[in-house]
Amino acid sequence: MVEFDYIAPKTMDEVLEVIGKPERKNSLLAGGTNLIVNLRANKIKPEIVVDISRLADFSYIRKDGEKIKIGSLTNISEFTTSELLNHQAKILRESSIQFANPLIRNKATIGGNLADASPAADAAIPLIALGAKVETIDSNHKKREIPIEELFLAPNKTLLKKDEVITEIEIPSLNGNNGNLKSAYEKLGLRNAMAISIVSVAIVLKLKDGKYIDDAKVALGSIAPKPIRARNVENVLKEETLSQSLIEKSAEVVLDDINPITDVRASADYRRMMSKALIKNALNKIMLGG
Amino acid sequence: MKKYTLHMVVNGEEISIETKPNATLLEVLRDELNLMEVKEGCGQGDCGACAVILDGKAVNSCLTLAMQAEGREITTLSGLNKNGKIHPLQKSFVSHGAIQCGFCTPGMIMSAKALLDKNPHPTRDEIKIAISGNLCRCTGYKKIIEAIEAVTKGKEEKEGENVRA
Ligand SMILES: Cc1cc2nc3c(=O)[nH]c(=O)nc-3n(C[C@H](O)[C@H](O)[C@H](O)COP(=O)(O)OP(=O)(O)OC[C@H]3O[C@@H](n4cnc5c(N)ncnc54)[C@H](O)[C@@H]3O)c2cc1C
Ligand code: FES
Ligand code: FES
Repeated sequence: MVEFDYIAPKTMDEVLEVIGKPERKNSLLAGGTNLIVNLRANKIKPEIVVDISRLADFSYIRKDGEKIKIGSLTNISEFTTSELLNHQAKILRESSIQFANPLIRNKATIGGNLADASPAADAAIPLIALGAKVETIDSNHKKREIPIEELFLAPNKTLLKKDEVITEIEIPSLNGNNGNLKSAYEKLGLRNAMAISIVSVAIVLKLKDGKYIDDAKVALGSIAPKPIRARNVENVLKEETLSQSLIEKSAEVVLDDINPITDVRASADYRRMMSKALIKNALNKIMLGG
Repeated sequence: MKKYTLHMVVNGEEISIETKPNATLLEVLRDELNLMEVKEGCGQGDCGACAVILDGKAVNSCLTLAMQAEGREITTLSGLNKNGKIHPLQKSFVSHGAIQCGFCTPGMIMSAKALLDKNPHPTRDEIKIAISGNLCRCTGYKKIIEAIEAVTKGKEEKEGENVRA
């Protein structure tokens, strides 16, 4: 492994002080499931590793009025058992169950998943469909909010500045719980456990009277250089009644939303076919009771 | 590179040891503390051969810096032995033929142990999920799952004698 210095601050102030010194190249370490792999492969060469996993107060899933707030250091394993998520943001819990395996989930954090900006990031896709945003703080103690769909620029590239830390994820009030809010997460991987997705689809629909779609948010992973929102699919769905023919139409237009590549896991053509199939599966699931 | 003093409790014993900041927990457990049951398979989170229990949770020690264990409790396979007797899970793996080359076994058992500590009567599906981060290239999982299941049903208790999960 590359050589580096190590510090494990106990407070955010200390973290900000260290990362506010640009002359010393740093890497933040949360769960380490991406970072340590990269360090071991000598892909990154920080002078100092700033271990933020010791910070108290950044690991929680809580209700704030009708919103849900999640601390950036919350482990993905916490998502799999959260009753609050099960009730109000079911799709995030669903995606967490398909995230890697328990050993990885016990370390992986939500902040690390977002900051890593993989086009396949399993927590990012449902959060985009939920309209969530991140809150950050920089070394000047300035905070800002970034909608998660705007956070990603390219594979492993985000809008975050070098001296900026994700502190919290906020899921907006969607005016409803499992009653009129229906969602589904579909992930296709090469096998069940640990598989990085080939295509993933997250759909959140706000329904009126059972089948009329008041609002729709659709996000996809692994079919573009970053997680994306499928606006063409959304436009087909919005203000229509959920039906088999609407599902077929949604699956057709997803091709206008995506821009897949061929890589070691799948060809671009296969990804196109699977995007259609997963959109159909997800909508069918919702129609059958999501 | 600067060295740091690391304090942790390993298998019930308080330890302080000098370590480099870029050493993984796996390296310290194996190379410094001679806990050879902690295996390095892939070194990148894929195989689970390096799994240990860190403050109650099973994690990959290859993706953990040793310094991250500061002040924390680690259990490895040999920490399950009490008074010279092996743990019911170990006994059950042996009696069910769930071990062939044995390379995956320590990690497999740590994942199973972490599960049983939280959920003493898991379903077969819960067992499958719990060991889904542990790869075995020999036995094909069926016997491993049966071995864990037998312990949850108390079938191995007698043989495990006074040690319990
Ligand atoms: C075997 C294996 C399987 C995997 N399977 C999946 C999978 O199924 N789905 C999936 O989505 N991912 C998967 N991953 C990737 C990884 O586990 C996740 O992306 C995880 O959420 C990363 O979180 P972390 O806390 O471990 O991040 P770290 O590795 O600690 O950090 C990742 C990056 O984010 C930065 N960072 C971390 N926290 C913050 C913060 N709060 N603010 C700003 N920057 C920050 C770090 O500096 C680093 O650059 C897998 C990884 C492995 C090794
Ligand atoms: S050696 Fe750690 S997961 Fe393979
Ligand atoms: S017994 Fe050989 S790898 Fe599992």
